[in-house]
Amino acid sequence: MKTIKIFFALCAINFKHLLIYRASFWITFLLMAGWAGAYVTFIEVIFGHIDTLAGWGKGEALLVLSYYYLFQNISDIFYKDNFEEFSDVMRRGELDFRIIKPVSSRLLAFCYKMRFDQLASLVVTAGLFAYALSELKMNISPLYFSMGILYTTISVVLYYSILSIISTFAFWMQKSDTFKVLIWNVSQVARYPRQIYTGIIGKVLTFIIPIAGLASVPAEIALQFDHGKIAYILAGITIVMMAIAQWFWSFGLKRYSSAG
Amino acid sequence: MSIIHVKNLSKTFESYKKEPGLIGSIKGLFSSETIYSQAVKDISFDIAEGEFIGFVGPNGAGKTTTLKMLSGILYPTSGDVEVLGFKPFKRAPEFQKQFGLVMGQKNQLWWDLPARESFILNKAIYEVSDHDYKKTLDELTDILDVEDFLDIQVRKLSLGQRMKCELIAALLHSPRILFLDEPTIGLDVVSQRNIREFLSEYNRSRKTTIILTSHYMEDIRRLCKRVIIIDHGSIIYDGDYKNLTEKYAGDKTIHVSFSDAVLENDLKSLGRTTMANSTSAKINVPRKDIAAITNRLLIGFPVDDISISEESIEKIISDIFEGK
Amino acid sequence: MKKYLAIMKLGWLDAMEYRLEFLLGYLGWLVSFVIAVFVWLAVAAGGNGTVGNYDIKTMVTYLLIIQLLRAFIFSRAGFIINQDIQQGTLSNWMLKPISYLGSQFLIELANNTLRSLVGFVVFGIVLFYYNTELFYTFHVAKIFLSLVAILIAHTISFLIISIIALGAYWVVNANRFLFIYFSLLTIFSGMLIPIDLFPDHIAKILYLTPFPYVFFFPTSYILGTLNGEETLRALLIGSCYVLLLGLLLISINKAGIKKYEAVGK
Repeated sequence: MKTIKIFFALCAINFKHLLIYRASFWITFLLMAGWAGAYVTFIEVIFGHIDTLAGWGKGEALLVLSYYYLFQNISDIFYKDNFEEFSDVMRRGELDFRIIKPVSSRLLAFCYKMRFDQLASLVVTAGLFAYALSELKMNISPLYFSMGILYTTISVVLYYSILSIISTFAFWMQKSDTFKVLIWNVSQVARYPRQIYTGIIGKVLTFIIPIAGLASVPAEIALQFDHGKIAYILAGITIVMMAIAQWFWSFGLKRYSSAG
Repeated sequence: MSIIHVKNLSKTFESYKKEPGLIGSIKGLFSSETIYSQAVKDISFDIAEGEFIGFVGPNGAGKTTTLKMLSGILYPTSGDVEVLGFKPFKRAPEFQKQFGLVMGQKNQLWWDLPARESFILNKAIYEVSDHDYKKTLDELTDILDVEDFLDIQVRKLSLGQRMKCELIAALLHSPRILFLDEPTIGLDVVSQRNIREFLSEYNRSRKTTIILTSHYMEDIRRLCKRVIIIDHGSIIYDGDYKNLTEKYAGDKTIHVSFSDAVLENDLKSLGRTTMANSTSAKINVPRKDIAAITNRLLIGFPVDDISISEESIEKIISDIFEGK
Repeated sequence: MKKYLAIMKLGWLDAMEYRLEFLLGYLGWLVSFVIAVFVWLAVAAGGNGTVGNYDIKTMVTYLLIIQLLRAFIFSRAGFIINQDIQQGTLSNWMLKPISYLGSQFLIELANNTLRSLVGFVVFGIVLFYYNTELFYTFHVAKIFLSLVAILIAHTISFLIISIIALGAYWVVNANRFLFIYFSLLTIFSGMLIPIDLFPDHIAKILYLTPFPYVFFFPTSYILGTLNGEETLRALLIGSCYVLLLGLLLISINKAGIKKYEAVGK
């Protein structure tokens, strides 16, 4: 598959950046620690007042948070910057070079710049996992825990598709800071167990704009909730979202080509 | 055989009219008027394989828009465009592998990495074999004399060195067509000359079709046999560079100096005369009469020195644009 | 003074120009409001309807006030400063006889005033229906002090975010830092969780940081959960931070400009 080959070629060229920005690697480490620390504090404060949150204990909620950071870290490494800066790239005319190349234009648009200095975040996330596991009341099965980690790949792809749909709107707009903030706000939904979103909004956030399950579902797999039925459903949704994202991208690109 | 075929091609851009000031912006929230601007109007031309063509025109004339439609970046609003048998705007990979694009004001090289890294990425994107890649790269670096710069961060290169590397990046897959948008913009004279020499040689030896836009007439003069002049979105001239002079420059100018003083009135019969002083003059003469008039001058006047000049092409083109 | 007024007008025009973006921004805030409400509904369900001193109604009112103030307090100047430094557009500003950071502050202030009008109307109406009694507690002094508190909040928010963005003088891109700051702000400024729900010893430390004065203090003051002494102390510490951070910003900027000119980015 050519797309995969090019993805690895992009990884290779971006990895060389790491050597140039070594300082950034350490700064990332410190800031990520602060970031994760803030939300651990939040969960600690909440569980200082209550015992369960929508059926999840403290260790379990921390596990959701850990999976949240895991998929965030991976998306930070491979594509996040590109979405946040997409309209800048477009404005500077750099997109032109990417859409005339004989490979998927979406790949070149959204996986062009990677941030391997963000690898440092994974170290912090590993620490967070360790803390979450130590706070769990029961022992977790290593097999299911690993399956949760593996399932994060699906979350990463689903998140990519959602961000792609959001960023494609940039073809109709001009300013980019709004996108950064919107993407940021939207991704916050995934930070908590998806069961806290009740009623119609809960359904929408799980199935239609499927953000609520990005971290929650891997955690449910790890904790063996509900025989993993939701995992299959979300995988199916991911395929649908991938198709929608691709279609919408082509549609937006057509508009870009017409408007100039 | 024509490899680029353009017929009645037009491109219209939409934008919104905005009234100035705060009140205007508030009004704009509720309604706004669409403005259409035609960047390219109903142009037609054919380009044969191996041609080196110059697109000339003032800023905003539609040169770049045309180039973007040929490379598939922009959809045409109406008309036909076919390049190498493909509709460019469909962006078929088989088509995209057969052309290269360099834009003088934008760069595709990775800023913080040595140019070589960008080449390796393009090698993967264009699926160039190891053997071809090595051969092409060696050849190009040799001709352009850039071996020493390939492993230096692009950001540390001079503009001229960078442009050479941009050219290599666009040529690694040995495209059949090369689009160049203002490739010499901002370069010093020596770099401009180097790049021109390279392009001319490349076009000659590889038979690669090259389409170049530039507002340096020097580029066009040295490189392009054929020029297409675009103004306000329309083609106002398409033909040989040489004929451009004949078509638009009706007159030549004779500069003459005399060993003794002469009277301006005596020269009047020869043509439109401007005397600088009693011993030198400029005479505008229709080109067909040059030989006869020169002869009369040499016989009838104490000529010390004589030279004939043509109106510069820059002057001609700016006259065309100003509607003279 | 006149030139700064022109700069403020620029901010207004800018806000009007990008109306779609403007709506998109509101969508983002709506999302974060929805998240907060759901989190607290779940928390309250786990705690038999109350958490600390907050029952559900007080909590939702608190979150609504946060949303109402957010458009005004929240500063996006960081992205612009980061970009100006990174892409060298700062050079254009350095030629002008006006202060770059001062102009950014005014543009942001003007921009936010306009943006918050929509928020005031939308969340104001919701708030009025949800908690009408709150509106009876307003009088001239309270309105005045609320405005002062909000202005302090906006200024602190701008100063911190600008200081972080000035990091762009030294690193490639300070955007990532800005987002991490937003995380810290979300938790420690009271955006998501009122500071008085933190364990006492942590809350005491937090009151000494600038964070609570960005959201918790103006919100609680409007909500009426602070006594006179707490209000006075908060106003005092908040003002001190405006001064302190302002000086810090100016001195960091001086050092940064030196570096910027040396490298000639």
